[in-house]
Amino acid sequence: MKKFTTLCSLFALFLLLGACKSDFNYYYYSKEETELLSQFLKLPEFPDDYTVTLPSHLRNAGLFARGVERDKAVLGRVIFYDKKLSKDGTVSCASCHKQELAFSDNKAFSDGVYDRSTARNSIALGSVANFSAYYGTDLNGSNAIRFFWDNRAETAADQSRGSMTNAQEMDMSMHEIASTVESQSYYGPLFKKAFGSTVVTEDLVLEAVSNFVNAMGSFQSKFDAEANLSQGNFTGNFGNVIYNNNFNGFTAAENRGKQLYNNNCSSCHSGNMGRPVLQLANNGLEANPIDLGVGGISGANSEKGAFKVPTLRNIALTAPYMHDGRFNNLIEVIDFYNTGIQNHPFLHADLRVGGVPMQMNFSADDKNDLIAFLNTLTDDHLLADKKFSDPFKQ
Amino acid sequence: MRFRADLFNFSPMRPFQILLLAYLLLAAGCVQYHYSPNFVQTPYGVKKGSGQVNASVGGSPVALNGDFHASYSPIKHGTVMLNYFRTRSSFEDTNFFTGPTYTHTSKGYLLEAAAGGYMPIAFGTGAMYVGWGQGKMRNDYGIERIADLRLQRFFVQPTFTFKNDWFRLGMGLRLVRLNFPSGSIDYRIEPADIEIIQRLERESPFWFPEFGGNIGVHFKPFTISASLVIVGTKPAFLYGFDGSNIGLGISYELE
Repeated sequence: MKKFTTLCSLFALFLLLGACKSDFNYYYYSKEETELLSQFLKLPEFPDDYTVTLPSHLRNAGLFARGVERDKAVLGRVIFYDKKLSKDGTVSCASCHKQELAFSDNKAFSDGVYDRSTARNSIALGSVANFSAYYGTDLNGSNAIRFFWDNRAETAADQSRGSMTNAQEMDMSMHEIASTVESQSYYGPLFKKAFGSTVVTEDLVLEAVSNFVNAMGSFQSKFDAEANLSQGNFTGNFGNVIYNNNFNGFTAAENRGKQLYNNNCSSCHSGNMGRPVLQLANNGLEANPIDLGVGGISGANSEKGAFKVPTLRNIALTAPYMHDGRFNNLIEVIDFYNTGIQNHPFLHADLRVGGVPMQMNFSADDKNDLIAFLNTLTDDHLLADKKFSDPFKQ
Repeated sequence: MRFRADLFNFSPMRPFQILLLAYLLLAAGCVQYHYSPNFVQTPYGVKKGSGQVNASVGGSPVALNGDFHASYSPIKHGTVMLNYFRTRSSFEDTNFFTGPTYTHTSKGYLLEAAAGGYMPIAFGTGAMYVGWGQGKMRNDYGIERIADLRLQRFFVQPTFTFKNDWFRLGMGLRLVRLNFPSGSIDYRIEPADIEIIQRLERESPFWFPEFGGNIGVHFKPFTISASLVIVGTKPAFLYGFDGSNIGLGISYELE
């Protein structure tokens, strides 16, 4: 009996021992890495999730999110904000692409190194669902969205290279970029996580930045919420959907503005803000443009004065407008389309009526309604999302 | 033309066929695991002073295992045993376009001690053991992404053995309580693998049975035996448990 009691006691003890709370320690950075990184950076203990999930209305329209690799995006974020990667150490990608402005700049021309000025207005990365979304299988094909106002870059990596090496912007060679990255101790652990090695190459730097900017999906606007719920009648194809019905959650002014937008703007900028319908267009800013835009790169007469057509996500935050930032606010933009379109020989056909530039003739109420609608395209979440914020300690 | 009806007359799969199919499916894929069963040891001692030592090698579709076992009867009807188990596997992570990229490995050990009593039953010997042990499993998911899990196992094990001058047969049912008390896990591990580890953390301890047996030929004082153990537990792909172990061993018996 005594033996039996002893056995039972032992059994109970084993159970008790086993019932202790488990202690699982998950780590992303080793202790040494954490110590090193924390000297320079404010990175979370575990990396943020950079997976891009398109809203259902864009998925239903046939759009796909580009894949983003978390560890590369984490590295890309640091590169994006690192001013050491410019010639005079004063400029980073984020200098012209400010998060609080949906990754645009509030100047017509941004400040580059040595107080130089950029040649064109900074495109809002937070408006480019086209960074992260593509239609069907056309990820890098002929209909893939190109980059820069003149569409000269085929990929986000090309675009990053263009900005880093532009004399008016960061003025570095890619070799200098790679060397500088390699010389900064905090990049070692980040490269190892992203690429399994601390070896820095130009291509890997660009790949990391591409992952970061491709993660900048801005899909939590009021428009997206309503479009997700919309069951009504819509038209469109190839990823572009135009919602003809009123949205229940919109105000009357917003719905009127949406209708105006659908009738006058969506054929270029898209109805669902997924991908712009047109890759480029001459919108008649000038009859004789000095900046030839896409035509300046391609040499094609028909493309002279044509520029990239952006989507209008976060448009309320991204003034000034157009490739040269000539319009300070949305009223000025609408006024231009009302009465200011110039008769360029290659003015886009949709902006021409009876052989002369169209006048959209929006009334004062129309303008207010249109602006009310454009305000629904703002994604406040993107502006405050910490995973896109400056990781450097000040 | 008429088709022969029996061409389409599939009979239901028998348990053995299902087991075989599962085994082949497992063998076809490379997986990492957090638990692998050692053999269910069945000491053959029937009197005070008897004992045995055994070494076996075995494996499963995913692992290569080594078992070391020693048992001794210090008193009449009482046996103590010590088991040491090692397991490991490795495979190349192969990318269809770029070829092998990095090596994944799983390796671990379990050291346990047990005590029990035996008595003659029918034409053999019945025994009941209670044991406890602990060990560690280390999974390397490539590019230095490592998950170290400590494991503790408590078991109650009724066995039945039969032996004569040249033959040995042992069977046992091991009722296991497996606990993962702690771990150190690199969060870079793929989310699907992290999910398995988190499931172990969340649901541990696990209770499950393991069925095992061995059959051997005795050449005094040695025995050559074949052993098998099957884990009767949750799906391996959800919990990372290796489901079986089969192998050969050699024993030395003290009379």
